[in-house]
Amino acid sequence: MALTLVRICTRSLIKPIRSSIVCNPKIFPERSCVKKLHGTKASLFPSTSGQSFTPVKQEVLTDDLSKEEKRFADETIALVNEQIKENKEGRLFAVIHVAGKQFKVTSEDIIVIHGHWDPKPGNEIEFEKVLAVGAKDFSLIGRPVLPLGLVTVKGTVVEKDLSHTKTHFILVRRKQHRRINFIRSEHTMVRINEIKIKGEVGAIENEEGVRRIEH
Amino acid sequence: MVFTTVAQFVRANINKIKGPDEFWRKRRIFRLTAHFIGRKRNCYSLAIRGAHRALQYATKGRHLKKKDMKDLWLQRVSAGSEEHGVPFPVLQKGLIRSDVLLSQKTLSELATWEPRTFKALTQLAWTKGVEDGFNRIETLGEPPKNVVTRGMLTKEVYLSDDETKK
Repeated sequence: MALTLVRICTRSLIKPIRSSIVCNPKIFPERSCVKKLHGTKASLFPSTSGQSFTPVKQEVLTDDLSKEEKRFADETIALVNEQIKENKEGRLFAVIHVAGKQFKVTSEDIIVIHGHWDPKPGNEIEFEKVLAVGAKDFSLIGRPVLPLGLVTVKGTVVEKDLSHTKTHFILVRRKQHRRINFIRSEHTMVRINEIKIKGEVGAIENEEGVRRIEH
Repeated sequence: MVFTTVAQFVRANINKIKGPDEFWRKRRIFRLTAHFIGRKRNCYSLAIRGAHRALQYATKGRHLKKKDMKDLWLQRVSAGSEEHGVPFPVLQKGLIRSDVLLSQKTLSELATWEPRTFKALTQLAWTKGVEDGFNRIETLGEPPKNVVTRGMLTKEVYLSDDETKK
């Protein structure tokens, strides 16, 4: 019985016992936790009154880490900007979002855009939804797109054409149902002319959306 | 029109009486089955079954191709990210939570052709996972130390009207 009581009491110290039957001294006077709790308290939590206790003074930590990080980030951005200034970034690639699809392009690529798309042959296009740009030593990744004016990706619509004939054939066996249609979807070929980083990386005035609202 | 033989005259005009000529109707099917093997190629009754089946496959296959490509991209991206010690779900979740909305196709292309950019993306996702406390992220080991986020992955930057005018 003593063992059981101790077990119950320890439980009651750690977390409140939900069941009222166990705790209620009126129903089970011999199992009363309240009574036994005071008796076991001393053994479970030894008192600290006799020991010497030196409190630690609260101190404000200096923000060295974030300063260090800021310095590191600034240095990196400066290096990137310097490389762009000296035209040493190498051949760039860009990830652009056109007509609901993403394309990884580099200059002189031809991309094929499937489905109806309005631009006509000869139209020159500047792609504004640039999701990422990569160079020899650095990559710029947009969240989700890079700020407007930072990167220019330009292209020319070269050709509009139709795809090969696709046969859409439906046959339901033993049900006298047969349909055949011939489909040719539109294809637009776009030549990517240039990818260039125009703005300065890390400049706050190019924050996404700000210039867009001004238009 | 001049017809050199009576047979040709009949074949040309019989359409008006009972639909396209049997010969040309069969020729249309045989053109589709020209590359088949066995009797499906030249026996009409077998050829037309084969042609129907092939056309149905072609129709369904166009949808299946898209699905297969998605599976392929997934496999490539997950293989690429595991090379850098990041499982695919962590990469996906980490990138989406950091508002990097590159598609599966783009990621697979980056994994294949732009390994350094892709490595940067995996490290970004890993760091985001550590910052957000993804489930069991600590089992991946030591997170990359070269990623400096300065809390910018979580903090949203809002500029007031005055600041935008400047």
